[in-house]
Amino acid sequence: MNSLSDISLVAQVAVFHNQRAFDQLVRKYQSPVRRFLLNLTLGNEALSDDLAQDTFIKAYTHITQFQGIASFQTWLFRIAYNVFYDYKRKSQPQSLSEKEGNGNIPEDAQSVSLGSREGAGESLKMDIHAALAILKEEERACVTLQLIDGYSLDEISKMLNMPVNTVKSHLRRGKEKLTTYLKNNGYDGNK
Amino acid sequence: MAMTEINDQLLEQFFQPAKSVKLEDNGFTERVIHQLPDRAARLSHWWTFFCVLLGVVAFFVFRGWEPIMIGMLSLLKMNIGDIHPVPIFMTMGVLCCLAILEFVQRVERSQI
Repeated sequence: MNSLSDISLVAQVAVFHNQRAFDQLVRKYQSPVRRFLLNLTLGNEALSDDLAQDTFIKAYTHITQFQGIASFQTWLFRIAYNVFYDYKRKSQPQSLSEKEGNGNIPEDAQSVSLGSREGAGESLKMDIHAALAILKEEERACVTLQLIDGYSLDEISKMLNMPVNTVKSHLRRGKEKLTTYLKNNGYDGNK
Repeated sequence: MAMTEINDQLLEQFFQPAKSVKLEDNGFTERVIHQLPDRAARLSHWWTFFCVLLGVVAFFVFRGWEPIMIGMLSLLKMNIGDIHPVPIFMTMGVLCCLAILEFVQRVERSQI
């Protein structure tokens, strides 16, 4: 039902360039897309919002390329990842794997605890973004999509345009690094 | 095998608080909609370009300079007293209306 209403809205945007219909799509998906990019940028709100805007504008201008095979959200996440990847490639021409994935949080990242953003009282003992900073980009994308957003391997594979086996490899390496990192920092899951 | 289960449990617990985070819109949607390319304006620009191009081509194909030259020559030969004032006033009126219309449209566009 949800995907049907999405397809109906997408059709209105594609055929009539209906901005009200697109407004509804943006309102519906702004939170997951921004949260995904916030995790990829290690908590840099301004940057993640800029990338999210670019994502939605690209989605609008290329809306006719949406074929409806995957869900609209999957398609949006794929654009979001490409936008993020393009940004990183332009801003850091050298291999990202050399700069990141060493446990150092990049300078532009704000170390904001997701617990405190939510304001629900439950604050994390350890910063999620600091933990994600030890991962390479691809590992971070796979880990956040599975562990935070709850997507399946197939969906992650479509979103990141990677074979399922590659996604599995990134997940395994990412989880191993995170587990070691958490244990080394005294997080045992009971705190 | 047991190690993987422990890892997953630990990671599940660690990322659990992040799952429930819902980011408020806070004007994000408005900013996106405001930045969308305006298709009507783009079409309008193309239409204007097409019309100007058509006009220039027609000017040269139909030798548009000849009537202009004839008109200018006849103006030079004409006495000022022979010119009828009504067509001049009408032309001035039309030009003023067009100028006001353009001004209002520009003001409206700048307010959006």
